[in-house]
Amino acid sequence: MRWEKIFFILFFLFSWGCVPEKTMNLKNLLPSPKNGLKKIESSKIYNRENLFDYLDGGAELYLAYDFQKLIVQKYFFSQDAFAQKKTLTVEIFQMHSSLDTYGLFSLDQDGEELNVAQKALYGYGLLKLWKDNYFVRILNMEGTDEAKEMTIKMGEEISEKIKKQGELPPLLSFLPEKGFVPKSDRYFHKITILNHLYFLANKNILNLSEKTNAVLADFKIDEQILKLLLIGYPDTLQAKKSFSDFNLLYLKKQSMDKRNIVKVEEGKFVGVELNDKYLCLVFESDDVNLINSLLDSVKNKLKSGGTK
Amino acid sequence: MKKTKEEIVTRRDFIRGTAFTTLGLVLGLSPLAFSQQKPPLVKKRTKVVLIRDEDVLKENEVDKEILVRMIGEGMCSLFNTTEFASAWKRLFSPEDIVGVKINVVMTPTHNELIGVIVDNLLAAGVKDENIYVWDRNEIGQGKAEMFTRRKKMMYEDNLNKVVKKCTALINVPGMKTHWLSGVALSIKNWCGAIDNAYTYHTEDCCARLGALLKIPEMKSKTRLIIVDALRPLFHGGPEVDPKYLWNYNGILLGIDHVAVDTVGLKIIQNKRNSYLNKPWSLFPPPTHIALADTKYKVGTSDLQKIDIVKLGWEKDALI
Repeated sequence: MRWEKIFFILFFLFSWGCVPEKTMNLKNLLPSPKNGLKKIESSKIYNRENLFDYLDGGAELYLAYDFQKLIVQKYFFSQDAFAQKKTLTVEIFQMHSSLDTYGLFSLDQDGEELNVAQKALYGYGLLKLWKDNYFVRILNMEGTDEAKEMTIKMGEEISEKIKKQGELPPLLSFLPEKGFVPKSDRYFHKITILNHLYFLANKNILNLSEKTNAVLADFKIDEQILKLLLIGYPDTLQAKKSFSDFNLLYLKKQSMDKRNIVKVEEGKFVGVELNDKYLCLVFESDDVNLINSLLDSVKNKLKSGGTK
Repeated sequence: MKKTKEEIVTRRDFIRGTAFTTLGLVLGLSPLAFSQQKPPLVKKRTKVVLIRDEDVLKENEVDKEILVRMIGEGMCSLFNTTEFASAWKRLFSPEDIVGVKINVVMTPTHNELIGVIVDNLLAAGVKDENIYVWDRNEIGQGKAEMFTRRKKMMYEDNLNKVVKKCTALINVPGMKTHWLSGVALSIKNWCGAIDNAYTYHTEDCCARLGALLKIPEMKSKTRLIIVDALRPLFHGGPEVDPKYLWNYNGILLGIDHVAVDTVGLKIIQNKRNSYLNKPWSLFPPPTHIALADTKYKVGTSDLQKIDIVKLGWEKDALI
């Protein structure tokens, strides 16, 4: 009985310290109605079961990043504005971890960078921001300077209410600095996301799942844009199997070595290397030396434990 | 998961043109196949009408008068008639119960388009109480409820009973890209008629979507497809990032889901290429369109077998 109590207390303390503020009431994060802002109807909250009602098939994307809850609130942003185009929509997604929240944010990093939250981008009336385990979208369909200013203010207010800073996925620290195209990193777990970013096959030939961590990034080397895909598997065995599957099913050429580079269609080369529980793949190069060079860089990063 | 060579289609297969050749061509993924392509021996052709008007959108608001004319001219062209009303009368009789399947999520069907369709049905003699405008389980009966849609119906065999009740269906999707299925056009729009859509949202690029057209009610009752291409989405989706919306000012009309979606896909792919000024292939490849043709045999996905009639504004038609 005594041990059970100790275990319970330890578990409670551990959970308190490591898990983001998941219990935060999403309504408390909403911008308060002031300076011409007025709420339209009451907010709507969605969970894992009914997210489809709001996003249809788009819900699968958020579920792939371990979505927990969403609050949606619409606002008028001036007292006399009643037309559809004068509304603002705030969506606050609460995810399970900050790593996955960053992953969601990373999917489209096009836009004007803002000094709001941990990362924020604005473009064409849409503000997207990441802080801890919250991903926020604020959309104004007007796109005017006034609407932009209001949108950013709202983003700042939400950000201030989120007290914690989230971590970046550790896998990103294994990406080489040389040639890295800024804002090109995309962090994810599942094959559906990879196929949305860079279609490889209609089946899961790399055995991606919620237990695998992956990053896809662009590298500009000698005027070529190479695609690098780095995958971390739960153990060496799964990485090894995936290396073998990829060689067999994609490259159509097995390799006795841990590195395999094959010339494919349109004069391009594809390279894959097994490094313990990591698989590193490089696509879109017409120079085998560039593939070797990028694979070497990642290998060194993995050996050294990544960028601190 | 057991894998066999036969069931796996890779990026390399697309580029070589050894799989999904027609889809690869639409997406610009099959340059090798393109050079070897020969004109097909075509027996049966299908028609898709694209009608556009430069002024139908003003500050993103729809000019209904122009839209009325666009739908009228488009219908006349699709059914080879010169009188707006006669095309509708050929399709729908006063005895019909007509379901208008719109899309309400993210890039919704424009209300003005719904209004034009309902007005045309009424003019064709369909009784007001026999017109159902719906998506998922939000159903409006008659003109008065076409925008409010507060009625609910049960599902039977995973199909909303409104589909079973209707004698005729019109499919009116928005036009958008979709992160899981490549695009969401007329085929995918039927996901909003069933309560098990998740079984079609599969990790193989939603390959089974064509099976929706094998559902007897969809197959036998759908008489018309009208795609709202006024302001489509060409990247991401279904969630909207406004930078990927564009005023295309168009409407697509047809009776073959697969052909209509093939044309819509080609327009979206060309828009992506023009946006970046270089090939920007759509991922994941919407294999469900090709499979709707080759596996489920419910239409044609071969652009060479589709007669595309272009009417109205020609600038940046992208096809």
